[in-house]
Amino acid sequence: MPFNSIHFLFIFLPAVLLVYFGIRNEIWRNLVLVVFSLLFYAWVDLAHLPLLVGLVLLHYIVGRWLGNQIDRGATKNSIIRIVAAVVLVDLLMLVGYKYGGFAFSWRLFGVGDSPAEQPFGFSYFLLSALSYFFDIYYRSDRAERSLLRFTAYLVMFPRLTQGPIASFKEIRPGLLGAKVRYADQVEGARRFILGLAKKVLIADLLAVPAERIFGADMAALGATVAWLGLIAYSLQIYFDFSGYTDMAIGLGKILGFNLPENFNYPYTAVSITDFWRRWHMTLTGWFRNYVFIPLEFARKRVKILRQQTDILVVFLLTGLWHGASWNFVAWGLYFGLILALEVSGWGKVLKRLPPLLQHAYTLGLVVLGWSLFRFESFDGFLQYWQVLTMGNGFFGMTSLRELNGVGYLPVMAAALVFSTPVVERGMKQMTQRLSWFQVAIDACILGLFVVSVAVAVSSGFRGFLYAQF
Amino acid sequence: MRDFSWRQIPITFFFLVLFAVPFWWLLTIDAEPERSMLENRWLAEFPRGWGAEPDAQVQFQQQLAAAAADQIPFRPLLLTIAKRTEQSLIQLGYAFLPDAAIPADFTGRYLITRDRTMLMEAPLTVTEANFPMIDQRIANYEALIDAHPDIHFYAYYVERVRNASYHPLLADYPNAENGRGFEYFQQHQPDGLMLGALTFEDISEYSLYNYNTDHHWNIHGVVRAYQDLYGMISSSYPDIPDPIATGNLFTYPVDFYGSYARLTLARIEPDPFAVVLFDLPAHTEMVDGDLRAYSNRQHYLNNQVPMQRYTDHYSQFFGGNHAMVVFTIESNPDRNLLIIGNSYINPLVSILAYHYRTTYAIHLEQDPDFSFSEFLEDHPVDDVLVLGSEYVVYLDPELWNIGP
Repeated sequence: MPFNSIHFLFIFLPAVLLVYFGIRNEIWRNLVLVVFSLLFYAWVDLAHLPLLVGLVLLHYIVGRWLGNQIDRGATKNSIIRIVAAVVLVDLLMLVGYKYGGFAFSWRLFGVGDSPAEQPFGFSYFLLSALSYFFDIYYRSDRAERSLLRFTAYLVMFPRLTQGPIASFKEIRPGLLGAKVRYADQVEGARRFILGLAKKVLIADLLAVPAERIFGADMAALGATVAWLGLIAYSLQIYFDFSGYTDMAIGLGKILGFNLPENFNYPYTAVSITDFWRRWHMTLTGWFRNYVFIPLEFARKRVKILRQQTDILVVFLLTGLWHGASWNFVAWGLYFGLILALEVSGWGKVLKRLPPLLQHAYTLGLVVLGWSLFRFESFDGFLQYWQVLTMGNGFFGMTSLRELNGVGYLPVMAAALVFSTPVVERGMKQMTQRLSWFQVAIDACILGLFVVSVAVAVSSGFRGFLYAQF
Repeated sequence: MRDFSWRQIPITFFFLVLFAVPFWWLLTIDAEPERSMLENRWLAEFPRGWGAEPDAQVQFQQQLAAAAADQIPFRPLLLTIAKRTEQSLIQLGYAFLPDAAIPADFTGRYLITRDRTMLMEAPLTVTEANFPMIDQRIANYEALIDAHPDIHFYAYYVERVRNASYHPLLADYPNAENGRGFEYFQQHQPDGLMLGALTFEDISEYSLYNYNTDHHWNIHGVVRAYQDLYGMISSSYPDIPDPIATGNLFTYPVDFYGSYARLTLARIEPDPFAVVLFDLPAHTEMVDGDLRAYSNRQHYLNNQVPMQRYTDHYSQFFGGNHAMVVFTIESNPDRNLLIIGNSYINPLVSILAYHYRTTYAIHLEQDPDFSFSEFLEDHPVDDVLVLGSEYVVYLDPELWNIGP
């Protein structure tokens, strides 16, 4: 049930809000949240609902056990054994479902059955569950006693399928019944509508020219159209995922939760290091806290290329997290190598370049990186690269008109503007100067909601790109 | 709500809308099913329960999702807003380009001229694979002619802008058909097939004989085709009744927005809706085996004209697409006609029926398993007319290949 679907907007969401805010008791509210979240999950993946519930129970029981062991002053080794067992089980689940066909014969040799389908939102669920154990292990949080609160944390529908990946301590205040102010809900609604507009009016519209260009006859495609296709895809993926995140954060705020930010205008980054501080921040934060830092600590005696190899490991895992195919691995290694170069001295050189060159360097590499991300087949990727690098010349036989792409150029231009903080800053400044300006902005936001619903009714809804991960 | 401020009114309105829509659905849950004139289909209704089928969950979800989108209040207004948004963006995208026609919406299926006088399709693109397809159709005609030497075979091609050499965007479509398909068919025309065509010199001539908001021909196009066909048929049908007087045109006081205008909601002037008034002798009409009127022509003649915007007057007055329509006029000479074609045949069926004892009209889209020889067993015919646009007459070797 995507957040941009009409039945989510006008059936599921009002039902949740009506029941959730019809109750004042925090325990009942959490129960309502759990029930609706499980309904939400059942809607998209009924078959894996028992597995999800089973995993919640398993993590709760082991978490309590781990908490008790720590409280009783158990030895470090016994605590590590519990954490290692949880990590092993979760990794096995992940490997079994997500990479079942990767390590074995299915894809490699083209024999055997396809692996079992991955439960919806599985990677996000497991990363959240693991972060809970790591936080207990590092004593930055304590084991949760309430099964209801723990379940609500792991399955809460705004972040269940695509994040943002939040730690328990970030969600706990809401689960403990922190007061929900109407002003926060209004702020949440603003955020939700802007996310909806990003998804419906930008990402979904740009998906059309991107798909048409990627699906065109490569032999007839010219470099200009190919580059436009890649730029459209780069904008689509950003507005799709950040739109989802805005909607999730907005929903969280409406319900009384503060979910962490996931994006900070990544396309304005001045280096790839900077880009990864701004893109999918909760995932990079997870890998930084629970993989990179422990690796650095564990290998502190290694003097040569330690940081570089650790970065490569982290980005190999980041790529693999996206899926079991060569392109995600290559995409992860691609960024791992660039980051390794940047920490090896190239980053310092980069900083001395004019800002415009820094932006161009970063954007160029990021956009090229999306071509790796987009093509699952290596042949398709190579063909597209040939076109990008003028293999068919500047203009091919197929024009942007023929692909019906010209009408989408204003959307692309708007997307470029909105991928920078210019508009947000301008609005903030105006709001500070003129008290009524916020009302004018809100009226525009309301207008965006109407137009987004109109487009969703007219064209139907598209799923979110990152839902597959 | 102690922290409520007047500044939050717009966003409060958002919350109100969230609750108002399902409330509206609850109030109207028992309303009669509604038909969407814009999309020419029944709107989906909310599921009443959970079926027992293995895929009941999927069906329930699909029905609920479809119903939520279809039953939303102010749906026609929302669809108009969506289309206007698309059209504004397209106009902006093309603002500095010289194109004579631009997409009418984001589907890109239809184009609108810059002066907003005509809607049309983008040029049909062809590849080398198209010509072997035409060869297959030629072979199909040859096989039919060889197998039935006593029957006269006619084909009549109706040119659309998308096939034409005067499409205003040909320069941007290097692979456009550009009239090449029909030209090839003409050059390799099978012996024994009498071929006619309604083609035009330029877009302004096209516009005289066709609707500007629809792909169909208007009454002037129909009359011209009828005159062509009368000439073709009368050469092998000496005692054919005199032609219908086609000068008696009547224009209904309705705004006709054709399917292109309806699907794109483009801002365009409507077409006039004119018809030829003539009296058919005593006859019977049969539609898909039922004895009933083929069209609502009589309603129109009785001045019962549907006035809603986007009414499809073409199919209302002339008749829709059916597997088989039969007109029988017992007083006519004993000669029967079979017409095979798409919606272009609808206005011609009653006109051509004027000259035959029995006239059969077959839409292969409605009867894809049609077999010519099986049909002949029960329905003897003297003349066979294949009429329609490119895929009917020469291009499609699958559906429009007439089964022997």
